Amino acid sequence: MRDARAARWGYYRDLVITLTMKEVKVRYKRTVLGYAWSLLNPVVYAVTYWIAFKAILNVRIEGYFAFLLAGLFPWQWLSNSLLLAPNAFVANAPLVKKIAFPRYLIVASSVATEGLHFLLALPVFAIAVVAYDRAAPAWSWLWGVPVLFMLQAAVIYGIALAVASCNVFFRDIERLLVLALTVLFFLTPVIYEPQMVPALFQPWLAFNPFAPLIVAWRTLLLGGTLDMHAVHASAWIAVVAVTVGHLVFHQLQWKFAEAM
Amino acid sequence: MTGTNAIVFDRVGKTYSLALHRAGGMKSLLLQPRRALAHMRSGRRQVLDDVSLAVRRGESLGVIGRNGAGKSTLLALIAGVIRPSTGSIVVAGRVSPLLELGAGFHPELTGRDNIMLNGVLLGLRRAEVRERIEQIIAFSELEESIDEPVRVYSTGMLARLGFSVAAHLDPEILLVDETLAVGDAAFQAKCIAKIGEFRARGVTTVFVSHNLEQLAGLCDRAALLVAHRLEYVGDVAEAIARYREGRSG
Repeated sequence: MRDARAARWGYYRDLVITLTMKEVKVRYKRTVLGYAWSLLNPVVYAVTYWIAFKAILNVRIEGYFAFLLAGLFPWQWLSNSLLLAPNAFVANAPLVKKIAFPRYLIVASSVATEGLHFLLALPVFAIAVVAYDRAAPAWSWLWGVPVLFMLQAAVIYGIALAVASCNVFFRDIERLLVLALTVLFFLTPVIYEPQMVPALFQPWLAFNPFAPLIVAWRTLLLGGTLDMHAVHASAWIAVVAVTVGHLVFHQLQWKFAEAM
Repeated sequence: MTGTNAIVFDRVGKTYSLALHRAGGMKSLLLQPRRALAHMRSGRRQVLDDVSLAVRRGESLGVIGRNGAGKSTLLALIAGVIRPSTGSIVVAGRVSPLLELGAGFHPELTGRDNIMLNGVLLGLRRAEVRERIEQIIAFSELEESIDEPVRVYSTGMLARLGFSVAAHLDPEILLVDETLAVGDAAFQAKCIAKIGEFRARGVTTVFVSHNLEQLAGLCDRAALLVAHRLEYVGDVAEAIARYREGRSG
């Protein structure tokens, strides 16, 4: 019995690796810049926001460029994964209709693919931060990065699984999500500090599932400390996201093949 | 009951919700939730009705019937991608579906990468695919284009690649859905020989095909589906005769 279970988990691992490798190989096919795109995107956003908020609106945050990068890299992972989520099952219709394999692994591998790009961008970020003289890579990254990585992966995975499952039936989800992510981007402390939010709106920040993660990444990457308060909050959000994601998935997965 | 049987259908019915196929989207659900929900519940179409069937271990069963009679639904139920609406199904053994043309292939990946992808999706471990990959390539006779992306492959080449992967799995139950209708005559003969090999090894096989002559040569028994019901199970020649009768009549 234990052997059978070990074999099954081994197989699931192989499935995730294979699907992730496929995504990585396919992603930058026929592009000239290839992997550089996963660096270029956040950098271009950071430059744009720097111009808008530092050069023009003169926001009072020291080292604003590094500040922006530290929030935009994890945000990019989050938002890219969620934007891919609606099509996770829909785009794989032939597989979903014919093969009975654990389909949630499709979502897991797309979160992993984006996570991989994020991890690969981190060293570049570290160099940029050192060059900018805002901070130096800290030892705390060694445990802080894996902890935050796992938490963020779980939060994204749970939400993405629910989104992917619902989008099989209501393609509106895809449009809603694009809108929601734009709104959430401005409601999450990516381009500002959470303390800058007026007291009246402070309590609402607690309802934003992405706020603690982004704050924690920035504290870690720029300040070198792991914000345990944010880690706790994110851990709860991760548990809720994964639970809800799987509940929705299990409710709907038997209807996938008929709806596609 | 399952001791000697690989697949048992007990009074299986399957209905599809029509609402799922309509473009309605979320608008009607938001604006008229009651009516939308009632509509979803009411609009169901029967695709299989009261089907009872047992396939013995090692047996090969052909399924015939007109388009829309429920053949593909039957296979999907065996594969476990959908659940029956009523009745119960027992499937004892590892099921390998022989995928339709190129399903699960990614056009931008090479033939070799696609073998890995397809092999793992169909249940093999990565190491197992690596062990078999040279054999698979040799069987497909695609050595020259195996490192090219499969989008440049012809239809026949895709079919060959797909079948070659499936031929090197270790299924206990093999599902074949119209796949044999593709490829040139020589490759078809090779496929049929391979399926014969599976049968000799005691693999249970379920075929869906419109090619009645081919079916007659491959199956021990045949099931005839007419209008979502199982009209007849048994002798292949008899099933084909009844099917032809139904068509002309």
